[in-house]
Amino acid sequence: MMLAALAQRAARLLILLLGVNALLFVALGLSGDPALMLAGEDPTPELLESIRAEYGLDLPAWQRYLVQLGRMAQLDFGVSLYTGQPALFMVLEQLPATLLMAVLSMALTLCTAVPAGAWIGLRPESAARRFGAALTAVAQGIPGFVMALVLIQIFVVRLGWLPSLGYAQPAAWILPSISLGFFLAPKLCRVVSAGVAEAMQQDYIRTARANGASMRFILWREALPAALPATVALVGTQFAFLISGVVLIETLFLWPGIGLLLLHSAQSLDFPVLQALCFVVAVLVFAVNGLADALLRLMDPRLRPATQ
Amino acid sequence: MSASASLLRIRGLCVDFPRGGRVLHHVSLDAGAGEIVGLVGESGAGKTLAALSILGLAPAPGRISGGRIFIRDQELTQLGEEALRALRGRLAGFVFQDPLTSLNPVRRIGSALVESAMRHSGLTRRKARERAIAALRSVELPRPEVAMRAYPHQFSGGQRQRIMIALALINRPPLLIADEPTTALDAAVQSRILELLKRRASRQTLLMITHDLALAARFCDRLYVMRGGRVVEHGAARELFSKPRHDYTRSLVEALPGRRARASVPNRSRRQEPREVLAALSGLTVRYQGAAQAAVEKVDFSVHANETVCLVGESGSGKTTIARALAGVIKAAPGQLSFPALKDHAPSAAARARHLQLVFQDPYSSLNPRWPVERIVAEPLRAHRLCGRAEQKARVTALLSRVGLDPRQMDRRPSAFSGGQRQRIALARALAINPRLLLADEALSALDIRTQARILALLRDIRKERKLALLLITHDLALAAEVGDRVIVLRRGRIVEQGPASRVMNTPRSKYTRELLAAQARWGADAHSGGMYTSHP
Repeated sequence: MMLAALAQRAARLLILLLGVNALLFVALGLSGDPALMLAGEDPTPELLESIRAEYGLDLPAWQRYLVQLGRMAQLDFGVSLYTGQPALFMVLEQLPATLLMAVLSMALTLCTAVPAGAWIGLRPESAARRFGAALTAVAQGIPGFVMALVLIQIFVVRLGWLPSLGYAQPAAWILPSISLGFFLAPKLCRVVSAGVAEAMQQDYIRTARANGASMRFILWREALPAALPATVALVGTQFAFLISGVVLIETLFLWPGIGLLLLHSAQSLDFPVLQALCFVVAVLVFAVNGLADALLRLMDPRLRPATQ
Repeated sequence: MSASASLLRIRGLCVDFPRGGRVLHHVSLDAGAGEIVGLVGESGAGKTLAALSILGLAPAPGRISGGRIFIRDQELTQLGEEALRALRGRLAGFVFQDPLTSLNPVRRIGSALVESAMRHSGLTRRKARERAIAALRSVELPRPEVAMRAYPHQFSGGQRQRIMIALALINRPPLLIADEPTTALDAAVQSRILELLKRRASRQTLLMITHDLALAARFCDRLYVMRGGRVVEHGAARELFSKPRHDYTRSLVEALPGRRARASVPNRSRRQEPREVLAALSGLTVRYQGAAQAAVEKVDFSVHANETVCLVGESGSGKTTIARALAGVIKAAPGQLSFPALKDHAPSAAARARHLQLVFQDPYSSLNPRWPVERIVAEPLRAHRLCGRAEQKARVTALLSRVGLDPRQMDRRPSAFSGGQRQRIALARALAINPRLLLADEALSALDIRTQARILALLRDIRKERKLALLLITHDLALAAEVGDRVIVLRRGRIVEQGPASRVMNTPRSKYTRELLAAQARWGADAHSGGMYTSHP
C-alpha cells in the first residue's frame, strides 16, 4: 500500500521532470543562439563553428535532446557556458540562501497571517472584518517588489537602520524576508479568515458551545484545526509561485540565491545552468507539494485511507 | 406538579431579533425531575430557539427580552456569558439533530469527551479518560477504547448519535435537551436511539424537541405544542394526542399518516381487470464501480397504469438506484428494464421522458434558483418542442392553478416560495408533458406533516383525474400504507416482500418488514390512537 503510493509518486515526478525538460528544451531553442552570446563582439564564422562543435550545438535538435536527456538521467547537466563550473553544483551552491529566505519569510507569514486571519474570521459581521478584508485586498494588489523598494527607501536610504544588500549578516535578512512574506501573507490571511469564519458557522461549534467551551478553546481546538487543511493546501500550491517572487526579491537585494542565478543565466542563455535550475526547482516544488499532501492527511482524518 | 418541584422552569420567555422583531412570545414551560417533556411543532415554530435560550445559546443577534428561566431554582436569565458558560454541559447537555455535522470532523472522539470532562468536573486527564470510556460504554458503543481514538466519519449515523449522547451526558447534567435527535436517522436506528435515550434519561429530565407529534406522544410524558413562537397547547401527552383542544394541534394530529389512512382504506381493494404495464423490471441488477456489493440485485416488479406502487426501504436499500435506472440516469443491462406501454424495445431518452417524469426529494436544490417559475415549469415543454411561446404561458397558468399555486406568481423565482410550494412547482413541471408514470423519490420527506398531507391529497386527486400511475419511493412505511395500492419492501438492494398494501401491513411475511413495522409502531404514527398496527405483537 505504502510502496504502491511511493511508486506512484515517483512515476509522477518522472513525468513532471520529462515535461519540464522538454518544455525548456523547446523554449531555449527558440530564444537564441548561445554560440553568439559566447563568442563576444564580432565573431568570425570559424569561431562560432568551433564553439558550436565544442558544446554540441551543431547536432540536429532531436540528437541534442536525446543527449541531454541521457545526461540528465545521470544528473549531469554539463558545465556553465561562462564559469565552466558544473551547472548542478552552481545551483546547489546557491540553494541554501534561497531556502533560508523561504523559511524565514514563511515563518514570518505564518506568524502574522494566521493570527490575523483567525482574528478577522471570528468577527464575520464586524467593521474590523471589512477593514481587514479591504486591507488584505489592497495588500494583495501591491506587487512584492514595490513593497521591497518602499522598504529599502525607508529603512536603508532614509533611516539607515539596515543594510540593503548581501547575505553575510543576519540584519540583512530582515528586509528580504519581510518583502517576500508580504507576497504571501495577504492570501494566507484571507484563506485562514475564510476558513475560520466558515468553521464558526458549523454545527460542531454549537456543540462545543453547548458543552461550555470558551471562545479561546473553540478557536484553538475546534475552528483552527478545521481551517488549517485549506491553509496548508494553499501554502503547498503557492510555493511554486513563491519561487517567481524569489527571483524579484533576490534581484533587488542582490541575495545570492537561485533567483539571482536564474536571472543571470537566463540573460546570458546559459543553457546548462538553466536546465539544472529548472530540474532543482521542479524537484523542490514536487517535494513541497508532497509534504503538503502528507500534512493535509495528518490534519484531516477524512483524507486518510480507511484502516478500520 | 408544583412549580418548585420542577427542575426546569421557563416563565414568559421572549426572544427578539434586532431586525426580525419578536420571535418567541411569552413561552412558559415546566419540566419536572425525571420527566420527559416534548416540545412539538413544525419547523420555524421556535422550538429550538427556546431550548437554546435556556443556557444563553440563542444565535448571535437574538436576545432574551423578557421572562425568566430557572434550573433547580437558579435563575439563568440574570447570568453573564462567563457564568452561563460554566453551566453549559453541567446543568444541561445538548444532543443535536445531525450527528455528522455536530461533531468536529478533524477531532478524535476521545479528545472531545475528555476535554469536556476536564473542563467541568475538574478531573485529571486520566480520570477524564476513564469517564469518557465509561460514557461511551453507557451509550452502548462497541469497543469504546478503540472508538476514543477514531474520528466521527468512521462511525455510522446511529453510532455518531450515541457519541453525541455520551458527550451531552459526560458531565452528568440533570437536564438533557435533545433537538430532533432521530430525524436524520433510519427508522430502525431511530427506535434504538430513542430506547437508549429513554433508558439513559431515567434519572434525568429530558426535553425532547421534535416535529413528529406521533413520536412525541409515544415517547414523552407531557407535551408543549408550539406555533409561531408561542406555546398553543400543553398537557399530558396521551390526553393531548387523543383529545387535542387547540385547532392547530388537532390539524397536526389529523395530518398523521396513520390517521389519514383509515379514511381512505375502504375504497382501495377493489378488483380490476388486468391493466397495461407501464414499466417492468425483471432481474434488475446495478453494481456501482468499485463497490463490493450490488446496489440493487435481481429486482422484479412492474408498475401498471393507474395504480400507486410504494417502494419502501431505509437509506442504502437501493430505492434511489432503482429510480435512477427508471429515469435512465443509470443504464440498465439489456432486458432488465422495459416499458411495454411504449411498444418500443429501446425507447429514446425523449420518449422515455414523455412516458415517465420525476419529482425529487429536495425542493430547494431540484429547481434552478435563477429561473422564474414559468421557465421552470415550461422547461419540459420546450425541451420536447410541444408548444410555442404564446401557448406556453397558458399551459403554465393551467398547470400552476392545478397544483394550487397562484399563476400570477409565475414571474417569481423559487426562493420566493416555501418548501411545500416548491414541491408543487416541481409537480407542475413533472406534469407539463402529460407523463403516464410519475416517479416521486422521497418527494414528501422534506416537508412538515401538514404540508405533506396536503401535497399527498393533491397527488391523489391528480392521479385519479389523469389516470396516472405513481411510483412513490419512501422510507416511511405508514405513508406507503396510506397511499399505496401495492407496497414493495427493499433491503440491501433486494426485495424482501411485496404485495397489496393492506396485506403487507396486516400480515407481513418477512422478518424485516415486521421489524420495520415494530419500530414504527413503537414510536411511530399510530401512537395511542388504536391504529392499524396495534393488532401486531
